[in-house]
Amino acid sequence: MIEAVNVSKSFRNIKAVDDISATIKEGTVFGLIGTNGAGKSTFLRMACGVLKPDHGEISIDGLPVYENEEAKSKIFYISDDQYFFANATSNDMKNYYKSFYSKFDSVRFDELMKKFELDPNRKINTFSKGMKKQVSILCGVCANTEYLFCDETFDGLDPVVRQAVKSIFANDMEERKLTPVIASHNLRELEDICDHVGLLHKGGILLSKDLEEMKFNIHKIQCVLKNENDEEVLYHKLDILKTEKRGSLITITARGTQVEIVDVISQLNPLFHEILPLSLEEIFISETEVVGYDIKKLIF
Amino acid sequence: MTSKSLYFNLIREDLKRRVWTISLMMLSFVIALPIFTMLRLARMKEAINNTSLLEAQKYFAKISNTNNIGLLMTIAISGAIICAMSGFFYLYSKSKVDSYHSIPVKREKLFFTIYINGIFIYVIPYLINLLLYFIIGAANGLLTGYAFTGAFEALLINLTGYLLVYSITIIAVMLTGNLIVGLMGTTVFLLYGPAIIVLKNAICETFFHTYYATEGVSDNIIYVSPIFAYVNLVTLAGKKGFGMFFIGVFIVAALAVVAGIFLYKLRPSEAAGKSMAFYQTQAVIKILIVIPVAIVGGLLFMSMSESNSFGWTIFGILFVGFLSHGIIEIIYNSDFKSIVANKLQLVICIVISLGIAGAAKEDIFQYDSYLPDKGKIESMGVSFDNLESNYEYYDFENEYPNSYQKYPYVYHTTYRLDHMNITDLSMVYPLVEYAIANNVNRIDYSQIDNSINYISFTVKYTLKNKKETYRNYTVKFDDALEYINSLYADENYKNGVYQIFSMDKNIINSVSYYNLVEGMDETLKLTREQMNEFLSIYENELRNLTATEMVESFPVTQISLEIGENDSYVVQNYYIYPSFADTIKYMESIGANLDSVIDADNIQSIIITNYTDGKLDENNITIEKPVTNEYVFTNKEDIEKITKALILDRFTNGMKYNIDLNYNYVVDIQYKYTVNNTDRAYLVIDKLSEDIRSKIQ
Repeated sequence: MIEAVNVSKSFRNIKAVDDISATIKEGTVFGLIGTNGAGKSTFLRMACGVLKPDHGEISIDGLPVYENEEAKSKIFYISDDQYFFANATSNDMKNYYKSFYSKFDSVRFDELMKKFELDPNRKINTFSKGMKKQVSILCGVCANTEYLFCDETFDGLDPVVRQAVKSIFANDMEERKLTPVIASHNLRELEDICDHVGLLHKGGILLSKDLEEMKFNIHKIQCVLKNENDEEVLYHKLDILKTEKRGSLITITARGTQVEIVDVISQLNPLFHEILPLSLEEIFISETEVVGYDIKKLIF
Repeated sequence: MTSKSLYFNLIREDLKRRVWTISLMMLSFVIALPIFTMLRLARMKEAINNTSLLEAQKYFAKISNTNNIGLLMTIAISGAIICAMSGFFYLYSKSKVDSYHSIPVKREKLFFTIYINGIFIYVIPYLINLLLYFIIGAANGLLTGYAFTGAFEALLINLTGYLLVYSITIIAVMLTGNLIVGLMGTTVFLLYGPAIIVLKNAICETFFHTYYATEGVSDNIIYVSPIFAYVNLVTLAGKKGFGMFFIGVFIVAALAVVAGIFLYKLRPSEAAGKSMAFYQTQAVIKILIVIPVAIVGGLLFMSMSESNSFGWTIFGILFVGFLSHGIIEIIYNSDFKSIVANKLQLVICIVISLGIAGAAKEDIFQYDSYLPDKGKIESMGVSFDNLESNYEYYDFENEYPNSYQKYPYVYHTTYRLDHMNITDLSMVYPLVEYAIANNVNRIDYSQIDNSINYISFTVKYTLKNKKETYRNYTVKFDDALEYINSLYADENYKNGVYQIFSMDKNIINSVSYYNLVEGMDETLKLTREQMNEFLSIYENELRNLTATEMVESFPVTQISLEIGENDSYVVQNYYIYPSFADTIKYMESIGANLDSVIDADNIQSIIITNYTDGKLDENNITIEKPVTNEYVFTNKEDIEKITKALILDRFTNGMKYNIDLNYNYVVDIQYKYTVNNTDRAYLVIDKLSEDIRSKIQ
């Protein structure tokens, strides 16, 4: 488990992270969401022991992470601008990381390089941005650490590779309880992978919740009512967040459990009703409004 | 992972990244040792044929030992800077820092492996190329034990110098955040100390009339600069004091390593790419740079101005202070608009700079009127600049090995002040009191009157607390002569001025004198006992020499002491004055010709050149051009007349007073013996016959 307690970090007079307390449980995918400058990278760099917090402490499985080899051996950090040695090949990087991560799986690295159709003997500086990201992800996955910190890692990956990486993560979470922590400014990138999301804004954490928990209290329903006058009743009885009407088809995003919402609609004897899947964006609209923020101004 | 294998992995991986540094170092040593040896091989073989095998072996040994160490020192200094900068270069890049600092390795381990690799990168190519050098030497019969030990002694010294520069450059890297500032920081660390010493000397030279720059001032440079400390280590090799200095350098290098580790642990990772790693140090370092630079600007503008006005100093301080402060702010903030940032710090820098310059100009610390209480003085020393000019001094305690000059030369003021301990202050204190009250302002040359003889002298105060202070004064010679005569009565004064008193006479190989009649030096035929007896007589009479006699008369002749052996020696000359009756008698008794007139038969010609000064009006415009006339005399009668009025140039050294010697007439004597055997002399016009006088005027 990663635990941050009252962590703050300033760069001269700029407060990058302001008194953040958060817990990241093992075996889940933690999404760290926020705009540019929200403090995501700073938080990750503190969490992997690169930066020293000005105040507070971050610990990994109970061990303070800064300058602690044992704690740091549980983490692999993929920065948003991963460094590869000049003229190094993927094999060189594999050997480099193998020197410091005792559980580094060279065989799997070679297999994955093949699967991703990356030449392990080609100089990395000749790779495209996306290919470099792939190499860094493969190094991170094959380091076999308990925690994998990815800073904007999915940015620049094509959808096929992104899907492949997600399936590797899912596999490793299943097999060895990998805990990926993924920082991104793009909600859609994390939509189908995160279990838990932390929203950072101006160095502070606005919320940190399980996606399932958030999904439990917000739903999107499409329905066609028999009587147009019932619309007013529906809007009155439900905690409406958003409505959209096309002809007689009404799409509503409302707070409440699925049972409560369906119960209200059923009482109006609709011609048709259906629960639709909610995007992470839509969930966040709801949650950030609760704490008094307009998510559209924060992220989109 | 075990600690041992982790270190091994770290060292291996770091070396992989530093192949270019290893290659560069290897290339440098290949050029400096095997290639250089091969280039000089022909000369060494020539030495074997023309001189001896020993000479060739000595020449071979010089390539790698401390005698010819310039190239190896250059490699050590530049290599140390390159290795320190390249080893920790990752600290200047955010992405690299993220990569290095996220791996599960403590910073001290990272530091240690990179530091150790920096030593390997220097030592291993050095050793490999030394081996190649030895092989070349052995193959050509030039390798000796002397070459072997000399090479390893040089290796030890170079490695120590390398470690010092390397460790201090690492501190500069730790304190800075990007390459440009890192290089500037390295320059500051390596050269700030000497620059401050030079600036202090410049301020003193500019504003203090009694300032005397002792060699001791520049000696401090070895304590404030790693490069100069390294140079001193090489200079001291094989000499007294080497061991202590070597240990000192080693301790400083070790402390620098500890400081480097400490700073690395403190250094925030986010410093990468910024100018300074520690924000708090920015202002301190800026102020430490801006103040001296502003003062240099002030002195520069003052020296460039025709008026030498202090107003220009103020302008220079303001202008250069503002510029340097602004440039540093621009570097710190990577923003040109920052040129006017931190105005309060700029004001502090300017105020301190003006304060230093103003305090020096107004002499608020009373530098020029400094005179310690008699009760605080243990001893004093005085050295006149132009009184005893004929004498040269040598360090007989040290010898130059394999050199034609056996002993090192010592600057006359340095020797005298180091060897003169006047404890009877009544002999010297009044002179200094008079000099402080009547010191001629050497900086304001308008005070100098060309018709008056001035004499400058340096005083050394050795206080009872062992502090040594120096001052230099310039006074009118007429007034000073009385005080100088008092000094001449002091035994300690003469002990300091005339090295013959303290010299071991057994190192004197021979004594010669100048035969004026024949126009040549002649060796006195003396046994060792006779030489000692002769020198003893001379010393007795030298003890009684008065300053008045010295300046108001010309020597009868001079004796030259050849000190050392036939092929390696130095020469000291001593004058024999007319009052040295016993010395003259002794010399004549052993056949020396001390007649004061050159034999006209020996002279082929005499050329008298008359230099007439030009004249300037009030506005410095020439109204009368200087004229030079030359008169050639070959007639024996004329020559005989002229020789009676001649004083040889070699006997006119030092201050002369109440002497009718006209320096506007320069006489060149051409002897008959050889074409090049010439001598220079001056005329005592009163002794010149009327007909000759009319010819040349």
